[in-house]
Amino acid sequence: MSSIFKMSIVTKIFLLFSIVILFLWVIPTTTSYYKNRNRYNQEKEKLEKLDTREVPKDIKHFHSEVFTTYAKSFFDEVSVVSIPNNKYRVTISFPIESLSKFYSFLQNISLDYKVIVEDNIIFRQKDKNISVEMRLKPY
Amino acid sequence: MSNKRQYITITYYKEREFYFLNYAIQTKDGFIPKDIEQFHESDKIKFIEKIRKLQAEYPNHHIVSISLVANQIVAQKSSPNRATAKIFKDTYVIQDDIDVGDIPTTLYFSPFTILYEHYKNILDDKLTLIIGYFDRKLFMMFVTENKIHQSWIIGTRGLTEKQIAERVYKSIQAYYKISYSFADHIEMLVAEENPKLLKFLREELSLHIELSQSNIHNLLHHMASNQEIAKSSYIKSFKKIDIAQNIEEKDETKESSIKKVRERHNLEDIKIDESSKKGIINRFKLFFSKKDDETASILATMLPILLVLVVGTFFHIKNSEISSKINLLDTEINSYKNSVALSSISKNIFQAIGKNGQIRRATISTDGVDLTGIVWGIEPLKMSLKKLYRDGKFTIKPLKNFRTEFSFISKG
Repeated sequence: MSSIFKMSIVTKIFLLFSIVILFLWVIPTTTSYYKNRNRYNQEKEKLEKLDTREVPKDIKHFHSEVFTTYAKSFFDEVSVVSIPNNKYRVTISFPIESLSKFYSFLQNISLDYKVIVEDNIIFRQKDKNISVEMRLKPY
Repeated sequence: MSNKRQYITITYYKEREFYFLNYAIQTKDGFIPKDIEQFHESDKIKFIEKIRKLQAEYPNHHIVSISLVANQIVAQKSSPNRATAKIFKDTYVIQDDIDVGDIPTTLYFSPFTILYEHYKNILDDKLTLIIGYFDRKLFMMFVTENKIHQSWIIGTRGLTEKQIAERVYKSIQAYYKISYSFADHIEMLVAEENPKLLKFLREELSLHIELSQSNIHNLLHHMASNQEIAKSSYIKSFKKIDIAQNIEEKDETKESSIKKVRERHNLEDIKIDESSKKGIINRFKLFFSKKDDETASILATMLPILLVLVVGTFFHIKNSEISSKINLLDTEINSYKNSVALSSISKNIFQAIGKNGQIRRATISTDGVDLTGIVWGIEPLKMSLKKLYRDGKFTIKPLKNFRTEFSFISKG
């Protein structure tokens, strides 16, 4: 204790400043970090449970041509067009028998690519063919 | 005589990367030097500890050193803004500042002062060139008994003895140009014998050269041996030199008062006194001008704040990173859930329509659906869609061949 009184005024100021920063900033930040880390692990577990694919793949950034190639592996006619506000209009045509394939494809889009499928998917049917138009927004 | 009464002179100097330390017991009849110790500059702390130990062992002491800087000059006037030492009447030696750093020093002499002291008794009205060879530098001065006419310092690092002799000769020539006087003879004081240098000097200069040899420690012991000589120190304020007779040990109170007087006069106290006159802002400036151990103590002072800032910044960055990752994960989860919902709703709609119907246009969202199409047998479709969307509105238009055109709008 006596050594504190022997310190120079500058040392005391530095020490006081250190203590203030420790309690007002360092400790709350450290606590927040550990809480967030736990939350991150929980969210990750949640996502892993949601992903029911047989072979889970890592999510990728959206790229229109890469996505077109990917979609064409499921369907013959695919069109990906850029529209304002950083969105893409995707049009897919397929025979009505491939509807179940489409449901699966739609479900897994957001696990394969960092995109949000916007509401208002438009289906059109002509005879035995279905055409689907949807809007994707990458994030 | 006890250690407490003996007056000792502790001498040190630095040459190249070594500190040389010695001490001698001063008596009325001269001084008795002890063994010289050598410390590498990386052992500076040990060197200073040894000085402290000697100080504690011999309270009656002076710590004496020599200034070996190259920017000393002899002048006829003192300088108020620079370190000045009076050699004799109207003759001063000046250097920029007292550069002892953190080594406790109470007396600090210029080589010019030492040279004059060494040779003053043989000077006369004839011009004598006095050379002192210390720390690979030649400290030269042209002197008569009442005046130092000119002083020079020549560095000799990397020079051969012949080249050194040539430099000395050029100095004599240069002095002749300004004074039209040649030195009548040369007195040279060296710290250690150098016969080769002496040989070349004699050949080059063709003058009588008297060589004298004395190590730096002995020169310094002599300079601090009495009050009169010691007055020519760069450090002017120092405690009185007291070479005690054979006196029995004094009582502790008197010794402690002497110790207090001694402590007031050491260099560190003077330095502290100077800095205490300055304000807080100047203290911060002083921090950046201090060296070695003082720098270490300043760093130690700043260590807590540095540590706190480093740790805080680290966790702040990590927290930001993990927060971004959490936001990304949340977006991923929500977009997946949305996709799943859309997929499920689409499936339900088409199941409800079944094979008997055909969609013209279906707009499907998580909020609701908007369907138009044709169906054969409206009732099953109605029931299915009503189950899904109770508030949905059907619009029906019968067509030929039992077909019905329908539209269905619902908000989810």
